[in-house]
Amino acid sequence: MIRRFLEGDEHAFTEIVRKWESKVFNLAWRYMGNREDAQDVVQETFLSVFKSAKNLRDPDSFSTWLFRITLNHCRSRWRRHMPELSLDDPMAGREEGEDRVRESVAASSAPRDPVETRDLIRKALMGLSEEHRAAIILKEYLGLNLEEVARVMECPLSTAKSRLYHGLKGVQRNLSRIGVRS
Amino acid sequence: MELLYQEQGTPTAGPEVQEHIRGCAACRKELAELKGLQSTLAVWQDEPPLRPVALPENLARPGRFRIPLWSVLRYAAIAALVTLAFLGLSNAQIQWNRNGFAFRTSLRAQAPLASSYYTKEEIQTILYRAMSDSEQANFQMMLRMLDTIDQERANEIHILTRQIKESRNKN
Repeated sequence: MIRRFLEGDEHAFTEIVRKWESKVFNLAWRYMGNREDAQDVVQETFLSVFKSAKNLRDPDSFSTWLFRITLNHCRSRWRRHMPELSLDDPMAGREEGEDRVRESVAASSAPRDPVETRDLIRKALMGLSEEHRAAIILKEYLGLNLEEVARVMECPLSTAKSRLYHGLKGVQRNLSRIGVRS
Repeated sequence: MELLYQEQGTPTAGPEVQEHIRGCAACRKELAELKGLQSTLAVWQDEPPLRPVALPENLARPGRFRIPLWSVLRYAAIAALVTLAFLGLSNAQIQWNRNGFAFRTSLRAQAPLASSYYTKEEIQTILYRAMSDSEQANFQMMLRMLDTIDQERANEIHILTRQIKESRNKN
């Protein structure tokens, strides 16, 4: 499919988009913590793919290349819109009802429904640094192996492992701050 | 990390690390917590995109050199003019005859009409007349030059004569 697109088959690009847009969307959503921003990132990512496909030397590494482009768009959008978030405030985020969630978490230790848990995980991830968050998303949600994570993040394998470990510890710490036991 | 993920194709933790885990309660606890955390993270499941991607149908294909339309048209026009000029000049006909001067180009070479050319006698007459006219003009010009030289010489003699007379009178 990738080769056909590079050879000029117009329908192949549509197939590529349909095949990968869900993964790209979910990567961006977990990075940005916001669906609308994630959707914009998806659009920008595929536009970049369309324009710069000629730079892809090895069609077999398409997924790595695609996720790298996605992360680049996520980073630039994140830095444009949300520079103030940090580990100090894991509850920070942009979607509505955060204060209500914070209150409900503090007030109750009862079992939570998946939507509420998901929202708390989102907040815990948002409290991480960009590199730690990216490593966790690539590994835990996209299911890449450690070497692929390192390739997407353009860093040595040991660095990828370190980012992943510290990212997981950060999520664990953020979740325990807001009353979620893993 | 290798112990946590145990990926196929990547090096797993060495036997000494596994031995340590078996004997160290703190490390076992941490590994168990990280695995529990993985289960918690898995609660956030994938969702479909909000809307389909707007496909960039009107953009240039990747890998191809994109040339603006106006540029293509300009080069096409120049190429057409050059071609026409070459074809025209290769069969250009430049004539000067009793009907005047004529310049004509055509894609096909055309046989000249005999009636449109001067005869040999006519050309000789034209040349004699031109030479004659030229000689007359040269002669007239030389006469004017000689007159001018005589006039200037007379003026100089007149001036010298006056200066000599004035000098004698002073003395």
